Amino acid sequence: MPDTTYCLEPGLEVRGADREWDDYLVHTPRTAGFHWIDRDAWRLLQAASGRTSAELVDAELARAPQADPLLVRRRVTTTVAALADSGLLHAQIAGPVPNQ
Amino acid sequence: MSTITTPPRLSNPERSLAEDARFGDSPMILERRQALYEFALEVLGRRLPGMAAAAGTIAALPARQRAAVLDDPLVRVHIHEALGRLQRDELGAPDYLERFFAQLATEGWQAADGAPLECSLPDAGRLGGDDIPVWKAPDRESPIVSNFEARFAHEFLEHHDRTLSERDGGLLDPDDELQELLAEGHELLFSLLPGLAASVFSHIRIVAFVRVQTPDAAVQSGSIRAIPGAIFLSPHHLKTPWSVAEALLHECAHNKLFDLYLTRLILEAGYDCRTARTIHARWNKSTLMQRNQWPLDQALSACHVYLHLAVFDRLVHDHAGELVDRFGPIDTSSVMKSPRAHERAAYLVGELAREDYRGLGPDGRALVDWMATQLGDGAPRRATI
Repeated sequence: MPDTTYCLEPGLEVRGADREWDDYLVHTPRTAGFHWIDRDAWRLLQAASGRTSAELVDAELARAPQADPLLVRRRVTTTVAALADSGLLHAQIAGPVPNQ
Repeated sequence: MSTITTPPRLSNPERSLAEDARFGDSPMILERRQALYEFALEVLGRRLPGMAAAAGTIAALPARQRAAVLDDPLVRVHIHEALGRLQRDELGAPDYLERFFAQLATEGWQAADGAPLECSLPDAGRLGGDDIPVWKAPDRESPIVSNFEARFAHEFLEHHDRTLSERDGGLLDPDDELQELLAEGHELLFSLLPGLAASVFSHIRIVAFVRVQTPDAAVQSGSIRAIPGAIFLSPHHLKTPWSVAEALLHECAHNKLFDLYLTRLILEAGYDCRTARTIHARWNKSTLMQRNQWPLDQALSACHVYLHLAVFDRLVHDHAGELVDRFGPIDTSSVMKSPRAHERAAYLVGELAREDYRGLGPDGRALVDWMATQLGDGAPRRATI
């Protein structure tokens, strides 16, 4: 099976980094949507380009080595799926694509 | 006559509803809402040359004036509609938003004047220290006022894909007696729940009296997400300070939730009330006005209001003695919803949590759990019926 890597939606604009909020307001020009995403999701979004979910889990575990790997895996998977649903992140197939 | 029973005691409810960092803190909700509007105007200003100047002028206003403009119900209606068209790739050339700002300029409105709808209602009454305008149509014709009247007619009177039938009625100009009753209801609410009343009132910018009815039902009070910041009251139903106070809390709380929708992921992305799962409001009959199968957002909104009304009911019970002298006997008519509010909120919390909270976004799920906690029930009760 080829790995699924992710790429960031181009042209994202963000507001709220200078505010005492627990999240950011992100605009995507392609879908013209405005999304509130929390700071953990924003960090994952920034880190996602060219990485697979497994690599993102490893990166998160490296940040917080004491964390429960199962919980980290679940949080990363859920967050990445939500970011993809919102159109902020795209899954792409890396490596050879099987014949259709 | 209904029987007054001792309402269930809630856990430090008023403070939590008014101050909870995620769901109660109105200044925070309003700050986030304004940031969204400012961002939206910036994005729309880049796409719509006809309103780039207006967007720039608003952005450059001092904070207080900028907030007043972006708090105006009619400005908000037009921003919301333009964002919808932007997402559907249906912005016009010129777009309605450009025409709206051109219309404001034609009327002589300048951004520094403040809220345009308010500026167009010179005869409007004022409500309490909040200085909220009370609708009164001006003597002279005003396209801005007509614009608001058309919005009201579309949302409350016309038959379309979000209404079940045509309704009869319209906006009403209040007389002095009605203004006084409204002021008494406002004073009663602020006497009972000063913190919570101030919180919910900060989410509205106009009060209007209305008559809206079908052959089998009538609106007692109403508000709608499509006209944010406006609440509508029926003088034919609300005849005592108690019922006015309850209706003000009811409709202002709805508007607070509408603002939460803009600033938190309460509903699932792509939520559509026409296809959403429904919840049975078992105390209501289906009428030509509305079905008793509520779409999820209506059930959530009702639950949020019933939670507020449960607090109101508790405090009415606790402070009745001292308030009756000032405001007359407690209204025990069927117009009052608060005596049944706790029971209904508890039922709706359970229903909203069913099917693993289907239709709600992450913040909506947390909101349901938070409401359950405020009701003193702990986690939502999963309904078994």
